[in-house]
Amino acid sequence: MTATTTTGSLIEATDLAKSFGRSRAVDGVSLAAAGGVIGLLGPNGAGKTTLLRMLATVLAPDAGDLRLLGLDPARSAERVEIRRRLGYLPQSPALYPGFTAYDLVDYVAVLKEHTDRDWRRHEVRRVLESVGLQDVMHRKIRGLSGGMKQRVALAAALVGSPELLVLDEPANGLDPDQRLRLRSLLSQSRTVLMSTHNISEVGALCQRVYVMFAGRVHFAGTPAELAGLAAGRVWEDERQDPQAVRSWLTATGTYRHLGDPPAGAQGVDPTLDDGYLMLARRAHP
Amino acid sequence: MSTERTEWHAGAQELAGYLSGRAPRAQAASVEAHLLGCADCRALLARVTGETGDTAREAAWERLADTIDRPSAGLVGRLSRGHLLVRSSVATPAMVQAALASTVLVGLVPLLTALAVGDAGLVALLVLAPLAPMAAVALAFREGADPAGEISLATASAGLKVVALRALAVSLVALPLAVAVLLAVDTWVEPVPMRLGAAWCLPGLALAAVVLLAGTTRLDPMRVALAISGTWAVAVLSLVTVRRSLRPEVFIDVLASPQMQAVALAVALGALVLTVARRDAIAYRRIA
Repeated sequence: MTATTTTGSLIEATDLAKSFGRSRAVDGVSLAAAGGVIGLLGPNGAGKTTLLRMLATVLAPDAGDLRLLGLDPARSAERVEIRRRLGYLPQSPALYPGFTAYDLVDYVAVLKEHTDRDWRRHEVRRVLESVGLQDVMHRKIRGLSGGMKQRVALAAALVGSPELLVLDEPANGLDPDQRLRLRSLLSQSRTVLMSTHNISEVGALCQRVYVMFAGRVHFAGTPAELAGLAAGRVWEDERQDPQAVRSWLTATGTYRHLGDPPAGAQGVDPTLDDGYLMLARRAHP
Repeated sequence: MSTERTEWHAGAQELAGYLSGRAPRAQAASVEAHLLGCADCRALLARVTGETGDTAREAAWERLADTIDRPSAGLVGRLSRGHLLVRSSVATPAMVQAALASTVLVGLVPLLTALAVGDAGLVALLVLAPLAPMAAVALAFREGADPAGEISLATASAGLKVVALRALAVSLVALPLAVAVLLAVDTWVEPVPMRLGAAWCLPGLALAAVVLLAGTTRLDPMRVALAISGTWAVAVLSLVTVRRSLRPEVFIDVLASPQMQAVALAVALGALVLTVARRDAIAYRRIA
């Protein structure tokens, strides 16, 4: 009884909401994804983690419609089917320190219903190699660095090559070299929804980006469109400009300004950071 | 072993067989032993390796790595790694803690008390045994009970199945232990009335089922278990005060009475049915 995807969208969320006590962590979020890598940007406390937990079937929404892989996670049989085809990396994965990296990923593979021992042995090694942990896979997790633990959890998410990957800050704790490795790893995956603090990550990896502030989506579009929000509103100058909303000193020694440019200002091409800052200002004037 | 004492040398064919892993075990072993002592054959092996190329070497490494990575063949290793159900329930830190807790509850405490003061040991068993399955359930729910934490919540096996299996696995440790303690007390301390052995099973099941049900609500199963333990202790103390006796018969009469057993059965069944009906709530558990 394999349920097939009836629509093209792997994620279809409409007006999702989730409250904890009085605080509305996610307040009417709609999101659609048909493939590729989708980035979720926003400050701490914007509701990214709560949204991802709902999309990973770990948390039930209070309101709204959610379909994942064409299935309804509120129905228990369909939720199990979704989970068979989903990989999830939580924000700060708590891994039992007494297990080795191999044991832990193997255990998750078992929970993912991979009962064939020989298949598991190859698959667990494959995912651990894909995150660069082949040399430490038999070391206890308590002896691994923060970045290594993060990669163990990432390997657990990748077991069985799931159709949909929900990753909460996958680049957390990774050094620049590992970040590049992660990029090439994720670009091979089918559908990835990932949250990040790192705007350059979005530019390098994501076909589509959502920006959240205070539980709501304030932007949905391509990274180029996000940068375009600041078009004509970025200029550079030798001095600080009191008219600018934001100003900062760049590595070249000039000031970069964001806001309504004065007459005769030297306009420059906006970056993703500029677009994001523009949006942040609009969200919290 | 040195070259001088060795008449025999490995041929290219034997070396190729050794290298590919297709040689019979005995032959491979003798080739390997010989190689350790014979520089000429090592040189020949290096040439054969060169001829068969990198792929053969990689394949050999792959086979070696596979052998090393193969889960240990020990009994515990086989049990804990083999089957999906066993693996997901037994190989967890919560299981070890729960097994230890139930060992102390239904094993050590009653046995030591019985050895020290006779009758009171039976009383201790009566008081503690119904709490053991409940403790097992509460521990199975505890945060950090799962080795993969939140990751496992998004897997197909998450939910009532895994929690119930953990509780069941602990009960399987606790039950034979409790029976063993009863038999030990019966043999070495004093005869145990037969119906005592069975009297606490249903109350134990009822309390465990209530905690399992608590796991489908916003309540913390561990706190519910502690509250139940407190109530149980008060009930036992009241009984002791009212009857002015610590004799086991006092407790057996109450615990084994048809009314008590019927109530326990009803509570157990009711709580289990409700738990199954509300099982979805376990899959979506308190996190945030």
